[in-house]
Amino acid sequence: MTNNGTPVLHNRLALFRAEAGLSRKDLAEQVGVNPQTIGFLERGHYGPSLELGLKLARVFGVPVETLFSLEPFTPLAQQLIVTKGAA
Amino acid sequence: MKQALNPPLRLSLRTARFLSLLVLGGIGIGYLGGAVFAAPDGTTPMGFLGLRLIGLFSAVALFIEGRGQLTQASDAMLDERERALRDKSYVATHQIMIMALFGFFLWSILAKFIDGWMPGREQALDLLSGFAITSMALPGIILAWGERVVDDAEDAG
Repeated sequence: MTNNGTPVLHNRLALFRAEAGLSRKDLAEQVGVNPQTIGFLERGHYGPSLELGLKLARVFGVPVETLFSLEPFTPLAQQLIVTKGAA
Repeated sequence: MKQALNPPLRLSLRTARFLSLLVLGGIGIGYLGGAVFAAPDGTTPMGFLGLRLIGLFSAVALFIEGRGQLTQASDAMLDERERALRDKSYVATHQIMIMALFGFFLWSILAKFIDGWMPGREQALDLLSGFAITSMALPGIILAWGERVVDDAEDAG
């Protein structure tokens, strides 16, 4: 999937932010950007630099590929079903 | 992002887009039309002067508004997304202004062969003023039209 010739970067930012109980403003302050930029990232309207991607991953304590992917993420509900089935 | 951007005027996207149309219409028609339809003694018809004023005030409003201020801000005041937006708006402005200059250059050659309209000294100065005002407002206009419509309440979350 491309957007104006550039690959779309999928992310789970909104999910991780909600789980951590952070507002966009809080997260923006932690990574040094404007809160609007967090909104743009979450909606997939902006692909972050490597530096910003790493900073965001550090906030949530996860590897950067857990937050961002070139392929669409499997929906959380589907992942839970798979995990439950395997257990 | 060490310093925050604090523009003296913040306008909604719809208002900014409306003002940008007033700038392009007012400056474009006011200056170009005023130059083409100038009286034989060189005076500009009042209607065109009015349009120029509307365009000028709209351009100033856009210039001091948030999007205009974003295009004037230093790197330290912007984050990476805003810096990319600012840079894109300047590239687009540069391309548009070069195309306008090149178009006029081509017309100035063509006009000699077809005996087409060419501005006198007064009209040339007017056109130059219009060009300068438009180039001042264009980065903000480009940002206003490139911006996606977003629910402000959602972004505040």
